[in-house]
Amino acid sequence: MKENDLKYGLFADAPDLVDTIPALGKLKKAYPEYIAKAERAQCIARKFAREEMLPKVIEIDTKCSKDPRYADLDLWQKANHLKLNIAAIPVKLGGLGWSALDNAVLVEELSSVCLASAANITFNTFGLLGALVECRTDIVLKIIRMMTDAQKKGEPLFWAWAITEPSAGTDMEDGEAMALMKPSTSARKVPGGYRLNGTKCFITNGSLAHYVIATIPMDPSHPRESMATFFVPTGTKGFSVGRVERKCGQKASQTAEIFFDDVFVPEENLWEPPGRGLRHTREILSITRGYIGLCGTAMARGALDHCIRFAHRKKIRNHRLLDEDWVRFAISDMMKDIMAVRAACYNFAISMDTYHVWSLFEKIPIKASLKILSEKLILGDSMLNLAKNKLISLAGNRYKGGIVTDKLVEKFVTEGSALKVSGTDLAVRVSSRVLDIVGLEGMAYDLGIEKYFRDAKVTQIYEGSNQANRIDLFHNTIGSLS
Amino acid sequence: MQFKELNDIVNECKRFARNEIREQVLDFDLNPSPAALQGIWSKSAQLDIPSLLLPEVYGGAGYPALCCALVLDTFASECAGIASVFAHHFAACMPLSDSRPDCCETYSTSISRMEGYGSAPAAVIFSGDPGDGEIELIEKENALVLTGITPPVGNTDAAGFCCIFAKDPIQEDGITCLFLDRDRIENSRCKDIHLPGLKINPFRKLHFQGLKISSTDIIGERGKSSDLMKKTRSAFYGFISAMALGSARSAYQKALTYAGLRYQYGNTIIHHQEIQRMLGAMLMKLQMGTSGTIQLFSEEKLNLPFSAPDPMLTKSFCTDMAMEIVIDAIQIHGGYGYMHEYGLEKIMRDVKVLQLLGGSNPYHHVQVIAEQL
Repeated sequence: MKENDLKYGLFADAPDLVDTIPALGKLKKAYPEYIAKAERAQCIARKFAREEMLPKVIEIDTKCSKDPRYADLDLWQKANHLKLNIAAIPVKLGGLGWSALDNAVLVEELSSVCLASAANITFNTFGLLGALVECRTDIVLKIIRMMTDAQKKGEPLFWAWAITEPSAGTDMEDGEAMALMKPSTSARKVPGGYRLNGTKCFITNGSLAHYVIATIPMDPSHPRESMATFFVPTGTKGFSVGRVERKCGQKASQTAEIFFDDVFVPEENLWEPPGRGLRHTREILSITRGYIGLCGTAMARGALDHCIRFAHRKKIRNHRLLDEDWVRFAISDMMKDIMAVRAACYNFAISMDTYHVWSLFEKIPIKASLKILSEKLILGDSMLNLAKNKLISLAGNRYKGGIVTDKLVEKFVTEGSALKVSGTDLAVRVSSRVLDIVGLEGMAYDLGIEKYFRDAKVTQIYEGSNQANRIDLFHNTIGSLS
Repeated sequence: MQFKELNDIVNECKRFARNEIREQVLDFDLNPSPAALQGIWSKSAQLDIPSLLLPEVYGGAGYPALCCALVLDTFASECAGIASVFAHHFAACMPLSDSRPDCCETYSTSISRMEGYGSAPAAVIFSGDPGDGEIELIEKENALVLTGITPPVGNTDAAGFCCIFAKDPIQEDGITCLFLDRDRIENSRCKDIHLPGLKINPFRKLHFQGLKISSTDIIGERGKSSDLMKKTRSAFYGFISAMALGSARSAYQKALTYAGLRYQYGNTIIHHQEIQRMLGAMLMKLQMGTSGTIQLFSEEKLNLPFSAPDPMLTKSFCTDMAMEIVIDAIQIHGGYGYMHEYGLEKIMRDVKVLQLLGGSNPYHHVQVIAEQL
């Protein structure tokens, strides 16, 4: 950052969370620690984004352009040191105990610099979220233990969700489309477990993942009725990685094709039984879509922050580019959209804390266990063995099912879809429009502004295309009335 | 020029683009090579493409600018980067027919024979506003010198010669047109700014630090070239429009084909109303942009109120529409559209550069009204 830079957005001093989303002021009065923690999270995240990520993103993008398999682990290690990749795990168990709101702040600040690098760090929660969706005690404890152990050792640990199949992205996320699709993957029952076959494509972190959570049908002729969810260590015989895609943007986040060639999955790694796979995916989407909306908004914000900085420095017709009337109107116009969608995304994150999986951490049985029991005991072998007891495991699953009901999941899919479309459309619109302001000169690769434009487009496609999100939005509101 | 003749040229160029450009497009994007570009340039000379605009008397084809626009549309539907090399060249050739006869003869002959400086594509530079690529002719120690930093310009690496419209403040209408050979600009090149699109055509600024200008460098009358600049710039805007349309047409065709192949909800997606709406809107934008661009180059103006499109606004409309079309074409392809091998994301990057070529579109809207005041 240069001395004469305008201190705005990414370049302003954190925390400015309550300043920029004033409604949080009311919450701050009622729950001072809840907001204070989010403000602390913002300070940490913005510092990391500005000081660690910003100076490196172009270098990483260049290396990944030459070799799509290049993975920069330096940033990941720095984030790991700060525990940003396990932020959602309770403090008692080795994480930061960050709420959905705190995680939203993290996702926003990091994505405002580079969504691809942010994905490498924050998508580590894939494993935890997958486990929380199941909420079977043995799975939850096992995953938390794996994540905290890896963090302590500084060993990279990546997770991937394998949902999309060749020529079938949206089909895997929508019940009606799934019923009519022709899946390329299939699973079959064998003694002691299952055998998986087929191809998944466009899998984020597919080439880096140590564990894959895969949605695969038992009967390809009836995919919806037989879709199941499997937990697959990528070292398993028969699992392999194909092509790592050469993409337009988001190059630091690898997207790969993965193959299952008669991969054996033991019974205990069947996370969702046949017929429940779609429900697992829907619950994941009910969490992630709102956050992708925030990622899009953050990219728009980051692109605009860079544009404002450029327009402040650039002199034209004997004044700053920023002093041109048309530029001021264009900036204000983009700002008003960002402000509106950003506020809605934070509303979503707070709702996530109030009603969705994060609310579990506030429930008495979990809060009391975390208070009374020591970390060693909770994450020890004896507790894990106890948690494997079928009745206890099922009780955990049922308890969570009473809180995160099917109705609640679809409610959050609806809200999340609206935000996903709004945020990602905004990302594309703003990242393109800021280039119209900075011109050819401002589009130079080294300045990093054009990278937002290249990165933004895919957000309209993944996590369900924006068309699929619109279908969900209509179906879950107006469509369900008739 | 007869319609049939024009149609024959376009068909010939289509074949050329398909045979010589199509297979190499993705490689041009990943590994832009000056040698590959020069190869295409040399082959295009067999169809007389570099000399399309030049007077017949000096070996040129003597065709109108409309013909160049159609060629650019055709080339851009395979690769906008290659098309942009030709667009800069055509624009640089525009002033020749209004230049001094000796100048016109020298340059036209060398281009049509592909000899000397004429064996490579030419570059064109328009001085910008103060602080934004302004270049000026000034008197210094009894000599005329060129100073200033240009906006980022294409073709500067390959250019055999460069057509420059410089500000000339002490002269009557303030603009002088210069033609400088390759070796005169050799030391003025700044670093490649690495734009996200048109990668086969690297863009750089040129920094002139008192380059001595002689009277033979000046074509036409010194300080009286503002009309010529306007004419050249207008043609250049039209050429950009044509390239945007070619790029968008290619994106539309890819989307149309893909929509007919991809199954979802038990049918190919082209049967879904929302996809039909998207494709229909793309076609509407293509048709309107095409008709505006053709009208721009039409020799017979309708002369009705509001009938003649403004070149700057046509460029703005066509490039903005092209961007909307390609974004929707990618969306119809889903994840495949974002992957390099499908070639669509490259079109998006190319079109983004076309939007900014010759100035940014929102500022064009300001300019077109401000210039009337």
